[in-house]
Amino acid sequence: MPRRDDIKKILIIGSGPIVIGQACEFDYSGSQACKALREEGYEVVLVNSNPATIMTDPQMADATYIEPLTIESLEKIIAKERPDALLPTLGGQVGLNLGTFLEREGILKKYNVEMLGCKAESIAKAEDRKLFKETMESIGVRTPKSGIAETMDEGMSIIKEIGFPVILRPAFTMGGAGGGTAYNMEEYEKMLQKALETSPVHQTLIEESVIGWKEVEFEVMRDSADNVIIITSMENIDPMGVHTGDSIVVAPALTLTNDELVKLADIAKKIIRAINVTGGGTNVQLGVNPINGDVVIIEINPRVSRSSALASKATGFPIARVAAKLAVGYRFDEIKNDITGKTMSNFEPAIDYVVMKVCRFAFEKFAGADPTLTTQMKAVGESMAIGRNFKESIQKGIRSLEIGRYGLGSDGKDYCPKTGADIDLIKAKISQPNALRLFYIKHGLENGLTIDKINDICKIDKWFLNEIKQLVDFEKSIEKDNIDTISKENLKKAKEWGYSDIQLAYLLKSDEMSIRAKREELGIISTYYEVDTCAGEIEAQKPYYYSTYETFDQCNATDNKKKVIILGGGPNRIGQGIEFDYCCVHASYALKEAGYEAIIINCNPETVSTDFDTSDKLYFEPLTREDVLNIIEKEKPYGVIVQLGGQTPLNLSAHLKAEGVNILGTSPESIDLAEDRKLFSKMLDKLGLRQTLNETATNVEEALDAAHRIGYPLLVRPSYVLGGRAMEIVYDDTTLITYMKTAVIASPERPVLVDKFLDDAIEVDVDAISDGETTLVCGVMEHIEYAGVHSGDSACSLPTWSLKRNIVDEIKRQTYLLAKELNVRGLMNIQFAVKDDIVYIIEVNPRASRTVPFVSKATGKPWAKIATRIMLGISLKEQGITSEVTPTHVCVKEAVFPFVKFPGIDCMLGPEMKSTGEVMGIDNNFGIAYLKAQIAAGNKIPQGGNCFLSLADKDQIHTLDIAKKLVKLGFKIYATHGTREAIIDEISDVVLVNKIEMGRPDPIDYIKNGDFDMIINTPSGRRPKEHEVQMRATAIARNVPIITTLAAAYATIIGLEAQKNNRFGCKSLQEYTN
Amino acid sequence: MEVYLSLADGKVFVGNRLTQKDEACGMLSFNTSAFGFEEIITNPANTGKIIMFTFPLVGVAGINYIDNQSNIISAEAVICKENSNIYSNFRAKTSFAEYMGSNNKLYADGFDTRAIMLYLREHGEMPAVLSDKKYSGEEVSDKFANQNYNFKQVNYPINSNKKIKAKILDFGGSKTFYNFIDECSIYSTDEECDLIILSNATFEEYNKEDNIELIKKYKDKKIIAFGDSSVLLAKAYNYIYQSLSLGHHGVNIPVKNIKTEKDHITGQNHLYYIPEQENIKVIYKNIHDNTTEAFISADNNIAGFNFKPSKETLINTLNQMGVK
Repeated sequence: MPRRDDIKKILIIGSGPIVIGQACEFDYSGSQACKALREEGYEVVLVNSNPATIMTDPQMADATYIEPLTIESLEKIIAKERPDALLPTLGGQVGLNLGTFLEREGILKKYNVEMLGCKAESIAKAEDRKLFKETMESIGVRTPKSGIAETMDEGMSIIKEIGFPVILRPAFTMGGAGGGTAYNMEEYEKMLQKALETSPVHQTLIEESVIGWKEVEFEVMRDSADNVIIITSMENIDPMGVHTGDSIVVAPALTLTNDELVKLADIAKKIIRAINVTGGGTNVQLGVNPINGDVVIIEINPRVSRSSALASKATGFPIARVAAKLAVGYRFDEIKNDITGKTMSNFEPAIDYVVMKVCRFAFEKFAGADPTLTTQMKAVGESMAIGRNFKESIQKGIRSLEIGRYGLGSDGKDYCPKTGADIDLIKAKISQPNALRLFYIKHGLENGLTIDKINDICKIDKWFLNEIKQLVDFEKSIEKDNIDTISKENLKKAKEWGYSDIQLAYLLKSDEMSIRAKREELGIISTYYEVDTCAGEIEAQKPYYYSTYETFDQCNATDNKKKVIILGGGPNRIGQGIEFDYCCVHASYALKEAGYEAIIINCNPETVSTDFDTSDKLYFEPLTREDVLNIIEKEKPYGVIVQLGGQTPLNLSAHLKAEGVNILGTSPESIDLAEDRKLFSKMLDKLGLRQTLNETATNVEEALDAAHRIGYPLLVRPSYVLGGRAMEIVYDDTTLITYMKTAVIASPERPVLVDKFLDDAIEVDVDAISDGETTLVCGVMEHIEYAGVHSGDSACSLPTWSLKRNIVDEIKRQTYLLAKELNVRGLMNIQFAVKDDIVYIIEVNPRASRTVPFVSKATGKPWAKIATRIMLGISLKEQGITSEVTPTHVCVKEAVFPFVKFPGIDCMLGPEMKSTGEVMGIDNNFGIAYLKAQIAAGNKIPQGGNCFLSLADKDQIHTLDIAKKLVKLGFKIYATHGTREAIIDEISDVVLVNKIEMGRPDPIDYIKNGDFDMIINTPSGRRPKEHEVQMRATAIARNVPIITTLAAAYATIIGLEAQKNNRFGCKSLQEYTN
Repeated sequence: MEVYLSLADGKVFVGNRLTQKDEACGMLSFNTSAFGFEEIITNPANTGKIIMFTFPLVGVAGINYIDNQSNIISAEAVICKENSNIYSNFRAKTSFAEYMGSNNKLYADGFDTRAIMLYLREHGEMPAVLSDKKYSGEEVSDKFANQNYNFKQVNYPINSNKKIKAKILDFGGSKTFYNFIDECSIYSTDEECDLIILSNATFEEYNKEDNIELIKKYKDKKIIAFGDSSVLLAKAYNYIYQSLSLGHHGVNIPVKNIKTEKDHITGQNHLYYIPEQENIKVIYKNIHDNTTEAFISADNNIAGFNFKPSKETLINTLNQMGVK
């Protein structure tokens, strides 16, 4: 069937903020879909609450709504836009669920909207546990055996059906609390009892354990003519038991034979037909028993997914783009394969390389979080590496992660010695899935553990273990060598096996640049091969490239003089994510528009920047000095852009400059100047600008001296980090000493910054742009939370909402001065603190910041593009950008946190960034915009009900005011003794609640019983108290909205007040900014 | 030990020999499948070929003696990027290298297979010698001309209780081929019958004059040809036939049924095809290059498939040909 002409306007739902399990892969898929549908002449209406996405750029859709992803706001948008169809399969689980709800509530029917790609019945077959099981049984595929028990007796009869080992999953408990794996009857009885007790509804699922089985995934697609193709198979190196999003994944599957793979692929094909996906893709996850090949189906996702993004980047097959076209009726044979440019999309990609996906975690950000990998996803990002063999691929994958490791060990940072290590420790680290398991496997092999033994304790396939063993053996064989004695053959082999120059420097007792020089002298240089969907069989027109060490190089550098390389941001992590990818993508667009050849280097498969058509040329490579220099030496670009990809490229800029690379825009010296405390202070003095008292320290003694000169409280942090890594507020010597000893490794090159901390100051973020002549402020954002909460975690408003006009003017004046002094060419970000009407400078970063996409959406100006043009020498005046924009509407950005994924941890905000994503609320009224942002962030602020109020002593003066306002809004106040006393004279109806440890029922009981609809709790001391942490964690687990700062409490009240008088409206970005 | 792959046009590539045998001569042919190596090397249709796997890792799942397509290794030699020194699969019985070695076949890794693939893409498939010595193009061609590659017929069960009788002319049929014939309710017999089936053919077989003469004998019969045995058909009945520059060798090759417009991803292993011409109607075409993947003659007496069709497809075709 060709293109459907009966539909004109299509609504696409995005996936909302970046959270663990749902990252920027849906920006990639949504953007591809928007492009694909618009080029077919459809009108596209897009809804997404996440302003940091490319898909919410106003030019990506005909109407773009940055609104909360709720049924209410979607119904308003549907009523207003009246789309003919809804495409729910590109916005992750969020989009799919919303599609289902809209259908179920009759909204689609009411407005006559057709669901494309996957009908509601299909979604139900995939999502509803019972229907799923039935559907799978109808096509002869087994789900793991299971049963639900509410009594011991039921449990005992279920176990007879299933057999051991068995997993117990108590209902309605978080993170698997009260559950576990039982291997024998004795264990089972105990665990069953515990499981039933732990579950609030006394119910537990008992499931056949497939832990240790192989986990294999397929991406399968189907068109309206019932043609089905498999895009690729993927095999998890971590066996069943670890969420696929946390597993190291290799594509294609390696340890299965053709016969087995064909059987599994047939299952995948049957499934997509059985659930009846009529135009789109499905992800199928299967478990395979390595002993006998038994197969169970684990899960399916009838939509594009994280895995499909990976499959897409791994094979070159643009799944989301094709899925969008299939959804509007096209068949595979009507959709061109844009990579080859010659063939159509009805084929299965052939690959002649090995793809590895490795995950990045953020356990260091969350004190007390359990780093064990389980069936609940915990990774915050991932990187993908391509190599000609497994060893090359895994080593590239690990160094792509930027976790300070340059391959699989032997980089000078190993956790164990190569002999005489603690074997029990190693075994423990191998048996329990964790982020560092592969390193410990290597240590185990080095220290004499056999492949069989390791396989026995972790079930990772022996073949994978043997690959690691080969690395161990190779390293042993060159152990006596040094840089002068190593043979050319061994050096070449090392490079073929993915060793970085840094690893070789460690193994050969030399340094990175000497190894590089030696290699180049011997002619051992990287070559590049294509990702072309066809294993080289057909000449490709738009391939992308990966490095390897082969005899031939398929990548010809043009001798184009106008060629620029953009360094991307690598894997997502807290503090550096989609916002920087957004900037890089814009840079690429700007370069292309200006007639330059745009080259992107990045290794994050989730991103738009690694889409095949974002740049003129894409290198899917790690962002280390070595890998980047290799490409620069080959391409010889006019310049390199480092200021848009976050800290990753910035960390390389000095190295690159030292190698003679032309860094475009603001010079690395200026970037350094802003980071160097002493030089920076001197500069501020010269400009007559104020800063809080500050010093630097390289050891404990210096830190204490500085502290005594400045006076507590202090803000302490390492230099050169993003996301406030290891940033803390300290109030006394003891905590300062602990901090210096445990939290940071200070050195003369990397001193610790010691600043006076301003209590209760208003923090302001400014993004500005300069071409050397003109400086414009892109946006002034006033934070909701006071200074001390990391700017990435704080909500903020553009324009400012409470600052006086003259203060904003002063902030702008200081911005212009700083831009001029630092000779900024491009973007800069400044953080100010305002206390008692005095403006202090906290930090200056002459580079793109996390807020650039937010500011661009709020002001309707593509600042990253404008900055890129400046870097090419096109002045603001020449670009016609001469005035600042202060929007008449209000945009509020709110951060989104992963607390719910780490049960038991504290949700208090502080100077260390913890959020994974952001949303934006937009309205003409600040209160409504703030409330929309809250709703979009998933904070279900109630319009009335019971509010537990518990403020810190220093905040007590506000208690009465807040309480009065809440009562007026219709809330009933619950408070502990002290708070109640403070307000009881004016508010008669205050329910007394026991403090924790002062008798039951305490606040935790109230939360568990669902008696609190909202909690306002500001921390009572400098150090979080154990029971307060417990209370906040319980609230998070029970999804009770909890407000932890005074400022947020006031903003919420303003929002609720505004909501009383106004209805939520919805206006598209295009309407706001045109 | 270094080993050289010398091509008939003089080009030489270097690799690393893994088995005892030190020289092999054959038609260099690639396969893009990332698995199924045991099946490919044992397929009689690959007799006389030096098989190059484009997927870089070979031998991960080992050899299980179950998936093989005949009881011997049909290929002359195998080259790849990296041999796996261990294997891991619950059905595996021995390693790929051990299997090659014990069957006195040359197996070599360390080749830049992508570079070779790109070279073949430019220059087409051609004869080659894999040896510890380098050879000139002329020497390669001479050697190849003097080779004899006799495929070994696979043993297959004959279920005479099946519906349709056929005489099968075997030019290199695989186990899968015979199983498929069986599945389609066809049994092989030497008795007089209306249906003649030509199995896929090795290059040696489709070049043999005897075979052409043999097929000419069945002029009044219904004939179905699989794979490159279509060359024999073409020669016997004067159809135009054409060579692909690279051949279709893989498991992911898309074909389209021209009538129903339905697509199928198929496994293929052939170099030639018969284009649309007088008396020949194309019924399946390749989606990438539009070449014929299946045809039927205007009088419905002769048909050919370059891929393994589904059971339904074959039965429908037989019906169309009037074979019941």
